[in-house]
Amino acid sequence: MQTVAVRHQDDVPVIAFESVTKRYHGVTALDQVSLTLPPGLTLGLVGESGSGKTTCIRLALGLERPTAGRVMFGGQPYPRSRRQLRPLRRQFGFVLQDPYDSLDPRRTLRDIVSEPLRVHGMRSPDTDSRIADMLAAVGLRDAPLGSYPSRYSGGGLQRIAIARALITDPAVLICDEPTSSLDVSVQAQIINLLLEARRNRGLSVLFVSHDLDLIGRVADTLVVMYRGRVVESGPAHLVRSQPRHPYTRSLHDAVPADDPARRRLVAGTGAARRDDPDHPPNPRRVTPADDPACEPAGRAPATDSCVFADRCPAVQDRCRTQRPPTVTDADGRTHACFFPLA
Amino acid sequence: MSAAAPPAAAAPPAAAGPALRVTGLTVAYGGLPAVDNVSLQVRHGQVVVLIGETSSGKSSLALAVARLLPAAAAVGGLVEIAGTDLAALGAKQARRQRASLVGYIAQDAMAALNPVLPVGRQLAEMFTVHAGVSRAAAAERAVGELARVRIDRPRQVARAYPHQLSGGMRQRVMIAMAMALSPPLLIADEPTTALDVSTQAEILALVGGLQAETGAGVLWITHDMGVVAELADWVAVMYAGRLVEQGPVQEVFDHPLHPYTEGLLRTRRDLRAGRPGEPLYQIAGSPPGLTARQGGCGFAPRCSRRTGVCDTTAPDLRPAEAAAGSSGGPSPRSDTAGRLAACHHPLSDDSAKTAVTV
Repeated sequence: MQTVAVRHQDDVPVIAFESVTKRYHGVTALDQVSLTLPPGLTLGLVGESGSGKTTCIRLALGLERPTAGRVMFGGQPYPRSRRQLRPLRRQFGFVLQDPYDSLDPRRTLRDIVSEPLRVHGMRSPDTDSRIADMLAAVGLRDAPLGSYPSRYSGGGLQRIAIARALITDPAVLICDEPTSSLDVSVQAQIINLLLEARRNRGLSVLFVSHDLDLIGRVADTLVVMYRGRVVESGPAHLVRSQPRHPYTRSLHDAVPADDPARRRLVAGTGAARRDDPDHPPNPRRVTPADDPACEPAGRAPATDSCVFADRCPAVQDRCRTQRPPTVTDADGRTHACFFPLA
Repeated sequence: MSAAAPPAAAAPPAAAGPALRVTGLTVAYGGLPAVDNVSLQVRHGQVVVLIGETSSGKSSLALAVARLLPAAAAVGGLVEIAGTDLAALGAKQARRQRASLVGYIAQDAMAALNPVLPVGRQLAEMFTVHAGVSRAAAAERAVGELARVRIDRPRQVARAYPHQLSGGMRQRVMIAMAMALSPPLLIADEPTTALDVSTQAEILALVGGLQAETGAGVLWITHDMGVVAELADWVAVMYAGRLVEQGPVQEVFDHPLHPYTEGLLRTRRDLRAGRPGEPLYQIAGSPPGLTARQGGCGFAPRCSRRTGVCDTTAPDLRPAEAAAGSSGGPSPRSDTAGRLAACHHPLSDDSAKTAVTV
């Protein structure tokens, strides 16, 4: 099978973005983004709305082409023509955020899960048993193949989506917030399913999430994005525990506490804390310019400044007038900041 | 419109009773119970966080308390906001009084805001309609309210339409509208669920600060234990339409009584502290939909402590009792403001440390 060649070329990244820029109608969604997914590993993409992570997914799936730079698969640039893209797409499975949106409610389980086989001409007399095996593997052992999505909960639907993603035995799994729409008590089940599938199949995984804790459990390496740029990258546990970029640190600080005794988001503004010199009230005021999600169309991209300058607590003049280059440290980690955290 | 009413009074003193008292609330859709006999209180100046997942009934409860459910939803029980039962008033009077009694912050600001009016106008309407203030004065007050929710250029934002603002900005507008008439009770129905974590942090800090300033009672609905940890004085846990546990937040975190509460806490702690690549702690099964409920305890199908009685008899919400062999357990109290759990086999103070394995 074609996928074997991709899996065992250990030196060649499965997916690579080489200084990829993507613009839509004057709005820059990605600005010189570089990242690599080595075979058998999981690359986590962390970012909030407006970060460009969804655009990365679309480019990785070959749904769009970059405005500048190159997107590589298995060391080769993505083909330009649809016809050439198709065999490539067989090597990708994807699981998206909203299971209610991504599965056609009018189609049966059999149709949904077998669709990739149909598209890639991979159907055979044993397709039904293949589907049944796959459903069993995702925890839906006795699910009737003729049943419809309406019968299943959010977690059940994501299991079906995972079955569909894996049915062609892809080399790469792309997950875009696969559990964000699910109940907390169900999220772990789905993540465990993905971890198991990854282990059993030697998958390379591109995992997008806004949840720093979750991505820390799932990813080997982490790329942190803000407003279309990569601000930091490196081994997941290091980027989380010793962030070098102020944005990464602010993301970390924004995560709610897991115990009331360690709360820190609200304490600083409570009346009880008013007189406490160690906890001055949070003075931050927001303007429309602050929110990356509401970038007005036509506004020129900030090419000559750091993209986080407006919100950075450690901002200095240089940050507003020059774009910080991406620096690769001796340990292989990268950051784009003139004044990285120690 | 009748003659101008005076501006709403600030939150009444604590002696006047709780900001919210819910007694035996039931909500049913087409005969299916979404909220099943729930009682709880929010005192003035207190933040009660109600945590639950899909089909727990938490949103139906919030809407029922604010009297925002359509007539088709059968609502029973008693809801008193600062002593007033809105359901006992005529529709017109209820509408007039509601805005100054309870501020409601919805999850989806785009759905709650009028898309064809600038947000400043919508905010000003709170004052012209409910406080009898002139349009000019109301417009000024609206700008002031936007500044109060930490919007830096309030005049500019006041002229904007909802779609021109980011999600976080819209939520600030919603908070401004909810608090405009200084109601004694705020209901926040998952207002940060759809927001980025950075924005959520700011909104939590904002509401926490404003609440401390005004002394309003807050009922905050969430599915996120982190929000409970950050915001709550008191936590109430809902599952399959019922209240299954409640108590002071630190006590519930340290010594959860209900296996579901313990499962939620453990899930979260494991996510943060567990080793990369290792399987996550998980609760088996998934929350039951409205039609899937049978007799007995709603959580039984997923519970590792389940016995025969759990399948046949729904446990009552009871004051926490010290289980056999434990020491220093909470003393039983019979008022609904106490530490309560609905479980035939609650985790005792001792066994709360033992893992609930699934």
